[in-house]
Amino acid sequence: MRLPRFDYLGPETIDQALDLLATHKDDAKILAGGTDLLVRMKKGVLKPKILISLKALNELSYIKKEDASIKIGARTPLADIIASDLIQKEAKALFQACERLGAITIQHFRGTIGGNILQDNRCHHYNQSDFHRSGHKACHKAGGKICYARDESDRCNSTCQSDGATALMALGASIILAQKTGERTVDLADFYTTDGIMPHAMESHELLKEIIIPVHGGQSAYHRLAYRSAIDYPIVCAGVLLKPSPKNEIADARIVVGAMGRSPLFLAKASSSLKRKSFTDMAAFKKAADDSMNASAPFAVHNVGATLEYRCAMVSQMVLRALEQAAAAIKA
Amino acid sequence: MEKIQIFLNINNKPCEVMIYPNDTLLEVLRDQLDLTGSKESCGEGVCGSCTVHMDGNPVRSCLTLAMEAVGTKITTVEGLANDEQLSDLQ
Repeated sequence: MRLPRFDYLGPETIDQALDLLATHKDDAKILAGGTDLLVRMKKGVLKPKILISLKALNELSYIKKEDASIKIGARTPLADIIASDLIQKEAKALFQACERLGAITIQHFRGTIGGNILQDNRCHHYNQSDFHRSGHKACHKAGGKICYARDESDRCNSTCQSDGATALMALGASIILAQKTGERTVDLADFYTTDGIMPHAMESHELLKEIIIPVHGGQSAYHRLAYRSAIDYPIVCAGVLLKPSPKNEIADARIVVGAMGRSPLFLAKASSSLKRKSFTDMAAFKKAADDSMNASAPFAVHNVGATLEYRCAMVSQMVLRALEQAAAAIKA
Repeated sequence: MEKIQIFLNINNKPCEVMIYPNDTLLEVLRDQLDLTGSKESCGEGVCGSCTVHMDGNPVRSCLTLAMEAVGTKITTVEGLANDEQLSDLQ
């Protein structure tokens, strides 16, 4: 498949990149690994006039611990995250998310964590070639007025299938968005618009610069369900974080379910139901998993290639497995 | 779009090619350099038929712009041979 035409710009510094973004705004897209962007361009759903490549910006690729946080540059390849001892020990959910996504042998050296977070929402009616989509009217996301995933819906219901975003939201991460005139830090939980067409609350002149993961004791885990063991996007996934209190009970829990809604879903009620419970309280875990299933079910539509009933049932399985794994890690 | 001259390092040999910005590395390898060992099968990074090594790491050349390969060492499947001796993969 041939890519559409575009102009290629290769800034040498972050400041140059931000200048270019400020100049070209909506005409330009950032190229990191290209594993999402170039595929969408080949399918004809995206035709930016200009690509601004991050190839020379090695200063955006790093993993370090500073103060009580892990800081990861947005252009850090997934392969580096998987190889990092620091991430394996202190942000296990992110390690597990990156390890299984895409294909370890091929995509991980190009795929970046920033790209994974900023991947566009997906729907099996939208993510098809020009030819396939020419068989029916354009859907909301393609500029039309119909949703093929949910009958008579007046909005786009495309799904966020980002493993990285789900795990990072469970870890309570925040991100730094840079632009020519400054930077802002946003909690990942506040980064989503819940709009399927433009799911991320960022302007076209902004650049995702860094991901910050707070580290203060606690264990995380991430589970995803997909058809094949590589390549496939998750049909449902869950990330959890459990923090122990001095009395060895659950002081705080965060349960996030992904691939069910237009953004990863932080489930407040299911999470807070685990407060002050013991790490061996299987009944509490089971209840939290079922609560997660019931809370996330209304958001799902039939657009990722598995029946709704199956996906919803699997939410509780993924959450339960992640909770058990995180709890076991705390006991160890 | 105008053609741009770039220098690539393919299988330890320097190559000079004229490309458009939207040329993928796979297209340049096959169409301009006659290195047809890498194939385009899915074109979207799923199948792996286009795999080449960039600085020793496997990447999908169907999703790598030729511009992105400048300054890196590319090894194609042809480059795995030891003179006339085919490698196990070949």
